[in-house]
Amino acid sequence: MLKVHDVSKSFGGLLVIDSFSMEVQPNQIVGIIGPNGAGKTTLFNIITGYLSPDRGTVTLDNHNITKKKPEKINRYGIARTFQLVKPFANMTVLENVMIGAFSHTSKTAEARRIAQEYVELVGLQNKANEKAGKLSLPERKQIELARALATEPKYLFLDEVFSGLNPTEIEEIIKLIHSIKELKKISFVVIEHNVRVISGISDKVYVLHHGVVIAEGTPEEVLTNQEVVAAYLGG
Amino acid sequence: MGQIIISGILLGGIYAIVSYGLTLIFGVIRVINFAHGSLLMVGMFMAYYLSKGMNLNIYLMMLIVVPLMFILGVLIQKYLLSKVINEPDMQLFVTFGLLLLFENVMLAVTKGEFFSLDMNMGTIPIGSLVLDWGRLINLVAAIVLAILLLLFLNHTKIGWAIRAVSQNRYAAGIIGLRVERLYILAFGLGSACIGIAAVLLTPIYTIFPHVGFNFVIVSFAVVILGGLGSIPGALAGGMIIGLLESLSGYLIAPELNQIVWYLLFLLVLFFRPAGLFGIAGSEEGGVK
Amino acid sequence: MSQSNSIQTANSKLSKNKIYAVAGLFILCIVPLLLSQEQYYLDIVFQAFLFAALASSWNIIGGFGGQHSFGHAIFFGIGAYTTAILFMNYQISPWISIWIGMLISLFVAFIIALPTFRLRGAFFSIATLIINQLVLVLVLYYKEITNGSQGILLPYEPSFKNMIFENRMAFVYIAFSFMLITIFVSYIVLKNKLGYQLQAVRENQDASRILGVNPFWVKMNGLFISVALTSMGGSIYAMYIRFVDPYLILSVAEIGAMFVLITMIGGMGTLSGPIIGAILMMPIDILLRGSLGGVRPGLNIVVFSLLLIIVALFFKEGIVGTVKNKLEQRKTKLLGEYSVETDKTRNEVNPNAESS
Repeated sequence: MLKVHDVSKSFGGLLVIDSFSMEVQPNQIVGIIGPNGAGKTTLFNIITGYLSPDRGTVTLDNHNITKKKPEKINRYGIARTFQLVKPFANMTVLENVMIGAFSHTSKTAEARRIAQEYVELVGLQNKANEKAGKLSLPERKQIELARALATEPKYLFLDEVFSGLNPTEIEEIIKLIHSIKELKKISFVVIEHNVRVISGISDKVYVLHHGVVIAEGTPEEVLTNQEVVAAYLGG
Repeated sequence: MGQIIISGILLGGIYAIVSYGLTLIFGVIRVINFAHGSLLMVGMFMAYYLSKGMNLNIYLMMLIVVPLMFILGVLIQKYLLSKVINEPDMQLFVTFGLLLLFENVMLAVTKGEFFSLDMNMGTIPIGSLVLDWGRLINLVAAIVLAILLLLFLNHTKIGWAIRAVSQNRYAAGIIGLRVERLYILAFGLGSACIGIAAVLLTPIYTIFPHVGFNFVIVSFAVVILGGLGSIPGALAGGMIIGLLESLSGYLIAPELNQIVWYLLFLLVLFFRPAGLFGIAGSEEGGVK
Repeated sequence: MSQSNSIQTANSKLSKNKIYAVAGLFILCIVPLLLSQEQYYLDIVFQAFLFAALASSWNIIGGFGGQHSFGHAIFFGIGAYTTAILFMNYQISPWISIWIGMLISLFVAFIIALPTFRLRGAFFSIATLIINQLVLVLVLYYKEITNGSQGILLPYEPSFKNMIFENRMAFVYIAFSFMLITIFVSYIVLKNKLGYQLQAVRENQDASRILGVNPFWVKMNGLFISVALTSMGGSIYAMYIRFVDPYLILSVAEIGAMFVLITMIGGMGTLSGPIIGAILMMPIDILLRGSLGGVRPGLNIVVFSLLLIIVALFFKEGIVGTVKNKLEQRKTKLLGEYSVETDKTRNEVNPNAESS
C-alpha cells in the first residue's frame, strides 16, 4: 500500500501543498482533481522524488521513500508520466521503452523483448522503429505510458495523460488503463482536471484546491459535495 | 598595498565593462555567447585601424565602432541565432563556431602580428599612488554605462519591453510584443556595449587575434558571479575579480594571479549558479 | 507490416551496415600501403586515423551522452605528459606508461566530473573550458615536473620498446589499431545498457530518472571510457611527434575543439560520424596548414568553423545523418509510401501549464 502522510510544501512562503494525506491500495485507480495551480503536479513531484517535502512522509509497503531520488523510488515500484510529455525524441519508440526495461535487466536482448511486449500492449507496434520525436501527441503519450510500464511498477502516476486529446482518444486511453489494470494488477494515480473523465475511471477521488484536500471519496460522493461544486463553478 | 588595491579596482572596471554585453545578451535571449570575446577583439581591431587610418583620437572612434558593432550583432541574431532559437546545443555550436571564425580570420589577416596604439596618456599621481589615465577613463565609463543601461531598461518603453521578453517569452508574445525583433535589438545592444568596451580597451591592451579569449573567460566569471542578466551585478562582479586578481598576483605568485578567480568562479558556478547577488533560481530570471 | 517483420528489417539493415563498415575499414587499412613511399602523405593518414579515434572517444560522452566537453585536451595532455615524463625520467616504455596515463586520466576525470556533472548544457561546456585553462596554467607553473612553457623534447632512439620507429608506417598502423579499438568500444557501449542510458540522459535527464537511470553514474561511466581512450591517443601522439608542447597539447582551439568539430560535422552520436568527419577533415586541415598555413595562419580553422556553423544551422545531424535521411526519403518515395503528416500544432508547449 502507498501511503502519503501529512505532506506540506511551500515555495518562497507560498504554501502549495498543505498537509496532504492519501492512501492507494493495490490494484486501485485513484483520481486527483483540482483546478490549475491546485498543487497536483507538485504532489506528484514530491511522491516521485523530484521535489522534497518540507514536512510529512511517503511510505510504500512500510518502506519510507520520502526524499529519496527518483531513480531509487523507481526501484520500489513507482513510475510516472509527465504533464508535458518528455519522450526521448531522437530515439525510436522501441528504444524509448527499452530504457524502462533496463531498470530491471542489464541484457539488451531481454530489454528489447520486454519493450516489444509493452509497445504492443499500447498498440504502437507499427511505429516501433520510428523516432519518438516524429510521432503525434497521442502517440507520444502512449510511448510515455509504455516506457513507464516497462519498468514494471506497482504504482503508476499519470499526470494529465488526457489533456490535449479528443474524446475518442480519451476513450481509448481509458480502455487501455482498464486492460492494463486487469492484466498487470497495478494501481494508478491519475491527475486530471476534467471531472467527467476522472469520475469515469476512478475508484476513489481526492479534490485538491489551493493545496488543501476539500473532499475525498467515491466519484459519486465527491461530485455531490457542495464545496467541490463551489470550487469548480464559483471560482 | 594601496597601489595594489587601486590597480585592482581599475582592473575591475575593465572586467566590468567587457561583461555588460554578455550579461545583457544572456539575460534577454538566454544564449550563452561564446563569441563574446572574439567580438571584443573585432571591435578592438576596428578601433585600432580606424584611428590609425583617419589619424583621429581613439575615443572618437566610438562614434563609428559602436554602430558597426550594433549592426554586426543584429546580423548575427537575425541570420544565425534566430534559426536555432529553441535549440541550445546548436546555439552553442554556432557561437563557438563564430568564436573560432573571428579569431582565425583575424589571424589570417594579421598573420599573428601584435598591435598596440602608441599613445602614452601618462599617469596621475595622487599622493604616493599612481593612476593610469586610460584605465581611469575606463573605470568612469564602466560606472556611467551601468547607470545608463539601468535607466534605459527601467525607464524607457523599449527597455520595458526587453525586460518583459526576458522575464517570459511566451507571455510577452501573447501581450503583443514582437519577441523576435526584441531579440535582434538585444543582441545588437549587447554587441554595441562590447563595442564601447573595445574602444576603451584599445589604448590599454596589446591587440592580437586571441586577445578576446581571456576576456571571454573573465566575463563569464563576472557574469555568473554577479548574477546572469544583472547589470549592477556585472559591475560588482568585475570589481571583485579585478581586486582578487590583483591581490593574489601580489600575495601568491604573479603567474598564478588568475588561479584564484578561476577557482572562485568554478565554486560559484557549482554552488550558486544564480551568482552571489542573484536570488536563488534567478538563472531563470531576466535582465535587471 | 507486422511487428516481427519490422524488427527483422531493422536487423537486416544492421547487418548490411556491418558489411559496409568492414569494407570501409579494409579500404582504409590498405590506403597507407599505397602511399608508403610518401612520408608526407603518411603523416596525413596517421593524423586522420588518430583524430578519427580521438573524435570517436569524445563522441562517447559528447555524442551519445550529450555532454559537450570543451576540456578533453586535458586528458589528451595527461596521456602525452605521463608518457613523456616517465620516458625521460625513468626510461619507462610508452607501452606501459600508456596505461598509467589512462589511470591518472580516470582519477582526474572523476575529480572534474564530481562538480561539473551538476551543470547542464552550455554551463557544463563553459566549466570544462575553464578547467582546461586552469590545467594549462598549472602545467606551466609546475616547471619541475612539466618543464613549463619549454615543453618536453623526446630523443630520437628508435626501438619497439621506446615506441619510436624509423618508418612512419609503424605509427600509421598503431593509429589504425587505436581507431579500431575506439570503434569497437563505441559499438559495445552503444549496443549495451550504458549506451541506451547515455542517450536517455542526453535526450531528457529528468525524465530518465524515474525510469531507473542514475544520470550521475551513467555520465561518469561514459566519461571514464571516453577519457581513457583520449589519454591513450595523447600517449601515442607524444611518441609520434616527440615533442610535448603545452600550448599545443592543452590547446582548446587546436585539440579540444577539434574533437567537437570533427564529431559535429561528421555526425554526432553516430558510430561512423567521427570517423568520416576525421577522414574528410584532417587532410584538408593539414593541406591548409602546409601549403597555405605558412602564409595565412588560421585558414584551416576558418574553413572548419564555417563548416561547423553551416552544419549547426542546416544539417544538424552532420554528414552521416543527412545522407542517411536523404537515402531513407528516396527509399520511401520509391516504395510509394508517404509519411503521414504528424500533428505539429499540438506539439506546442503550453505556456500556462502548471509549473509548480
